[in-house]
Amino acid sequence: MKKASCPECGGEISIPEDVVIGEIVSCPDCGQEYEVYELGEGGPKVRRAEVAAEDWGE
Amino acid sequence: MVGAVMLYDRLRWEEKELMKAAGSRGLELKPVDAKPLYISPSHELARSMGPLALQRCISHYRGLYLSAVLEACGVRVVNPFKATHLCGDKLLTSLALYRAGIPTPRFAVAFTAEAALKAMEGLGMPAVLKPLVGSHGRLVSMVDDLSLAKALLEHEEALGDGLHRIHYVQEYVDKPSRDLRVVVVGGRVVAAIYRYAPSGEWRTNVAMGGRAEPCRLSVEAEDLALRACEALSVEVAGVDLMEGGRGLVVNEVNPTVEFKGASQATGVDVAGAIVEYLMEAAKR
Repeated sequence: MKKASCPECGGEISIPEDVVIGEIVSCPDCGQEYEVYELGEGGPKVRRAEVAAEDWGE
Repeated sequence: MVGAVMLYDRLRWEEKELMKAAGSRGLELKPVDAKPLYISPSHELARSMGPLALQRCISHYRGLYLSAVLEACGVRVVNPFKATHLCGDKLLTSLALYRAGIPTPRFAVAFTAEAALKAMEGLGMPAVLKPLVGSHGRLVSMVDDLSLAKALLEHEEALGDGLHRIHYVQEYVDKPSRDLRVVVVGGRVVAAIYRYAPSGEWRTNVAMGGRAEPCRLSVEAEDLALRACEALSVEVAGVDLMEGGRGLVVNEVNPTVEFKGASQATGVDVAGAIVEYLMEAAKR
């Protein structure tokens, strides 16, 4: 399991080994959702995921 | 095989399954995140996207306008702009179904809150108020009392957006606590489930906690689902049917179908069926 630090609260976010760019992960401490946007040597980078909007759906 | 791009803005279970299914079938399905894109129609854009795109954006408008630009420069988008436009708007969906003679719940559109109250009285209470655009059952309200309806309409109008002042009202279909979700890919039914409303809820959306069970479709249900897709020019869809007192009706058609519930309840590889359809489309 890869790890990333939660930019919001500093919690440790577990990221699956087979993660793909765009995958959504969440911080187990504060619950904030993040999107993995880069898979570099320094480990996966995450940014805050978009929150559900009114036009979201299927 | 170079095949297609998959346009997305949030990678759900479905998009990950689509990528896996493409990988195992030898189709190169390149994920393209719509969020950072800024695009104008051009030969370069068409070249960078390739001939075929699968539209999977969770944001209706983002997907809709992205499809419009891509189609303008010759990219074939599944589903096409027209289908996303029609299916993404409940009134346009109802009108297309009506024109095609496909049974659908009675509906009305009203252009002020006062007129919407009259529309509800006309359709009979309870009635269902729905935002024109939206999914997962959000803001869909069953109303059996005119004073509650008035308050809801006031709230809706206070949202300030012009679309919220167009009121779509539908008859409440007195159905069992379930509906049917039929997944159609390229003119073929690939999976069907019953969606049961969770306890204390009348909406059956799996996103609302609805439970999925496999469903053996009747010939009539299959025919209705396929005709609805044809009427809306949609190639890959989740068609929602309800079992009302007057028989089966088509309620909604979802162009960016979430098929986790259907796949897991039936064991059908819906992602695989979509990828195989794309591979056929890429040859044409």
